[in-house]
Amino acid sequence: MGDRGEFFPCGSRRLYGFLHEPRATEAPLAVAPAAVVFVHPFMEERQDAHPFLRSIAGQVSARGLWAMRFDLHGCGDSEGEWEDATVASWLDDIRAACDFVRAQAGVERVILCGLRFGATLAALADIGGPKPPLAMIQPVVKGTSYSMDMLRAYLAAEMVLTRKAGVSRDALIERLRLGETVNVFGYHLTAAQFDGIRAIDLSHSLASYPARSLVIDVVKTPTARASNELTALVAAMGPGSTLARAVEPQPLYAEGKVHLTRAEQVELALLGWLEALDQP
Amino acid sequence: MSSTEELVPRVRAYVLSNFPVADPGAVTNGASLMELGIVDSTGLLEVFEWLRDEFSIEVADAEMVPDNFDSIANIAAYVGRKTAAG
Repeated sequence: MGDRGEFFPCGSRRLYGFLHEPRATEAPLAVAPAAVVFVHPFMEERQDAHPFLRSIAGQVSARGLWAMRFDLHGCGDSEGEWEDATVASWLDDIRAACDFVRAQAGVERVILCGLRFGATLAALADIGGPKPPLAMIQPVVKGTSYSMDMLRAYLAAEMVLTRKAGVSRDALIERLRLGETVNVFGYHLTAAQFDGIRAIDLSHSLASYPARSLVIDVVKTPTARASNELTALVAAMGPGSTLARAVEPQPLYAEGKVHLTRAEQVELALLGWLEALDQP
Repeated sequence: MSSTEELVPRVRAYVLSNFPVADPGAVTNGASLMELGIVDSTGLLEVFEWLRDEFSIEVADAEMVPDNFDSIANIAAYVGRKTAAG
């Protein structure tokens, strides 16, 4: 049937996913049949990351595995309003995507791979059965920091638009508490989303992770410092977790000087990890 | 600690290498990066990230004003003040 986009059910909503069928046009990975489900980052980062996710999913399928990309509730072509989504509903979406790809691909084994907050959600998702192998590219580790970064994005937009100082983040939190939303890059962040995100701490949630995992620290230059946060996360996850470093001069999930079509070091890290997944 | 004069080339190199600039020669150090469309809101967040990585500067909400970030010279002066303050 080839590569194809399809809607699939998640409760009463339909989500849009894109399946990359295994092509094995390049040397197949020495790993048992599986599907890799990619979880996108959020807001502005989702749009900017689209070429990268399309590319890396294609690389995975070219090496003989199924790959699936999909849009979470309120994002892209999926149904539902962004304001109605919560962390819990996004986790349900991941479960639904995994169920769908299992049925479509005829494989039971699913490997989760996410970028930024998509990696965070992938790490927290219950997709049925034992915890899956997990690859996280530049994950958001602490929801407290990420949620405040979202509010900072509002302040940045306000400053650029009005050319003057805006309100503080404390004032924005007060607005959320009063039931208002905060417009972050056109997405109306709700109090429920804000609180759900703030409650996340992967270092705690993923301690002693029982399956193989990969964390990719993406840096712009070879001399860039390693992320202390990601190093600590991998240590907390235990011996099955691997930390890789990828030097990518062009951003994967932000506007860059050059339109990114491939992130070769990230691909190398992910494909190398997949290749070694079934080795003792 | 660096003087503003010393910081300007460093800030300029960062801006010109990280943001889409059609004609680098036309971007004076005092030109408004926002009016020229070089730095938008997401770009501003990247500048903050760069300041954190390069200078260990955490930009406070109250410091998010054009006087600090709307030009190469403004950014350099801001970095100079922050690093001088320790």
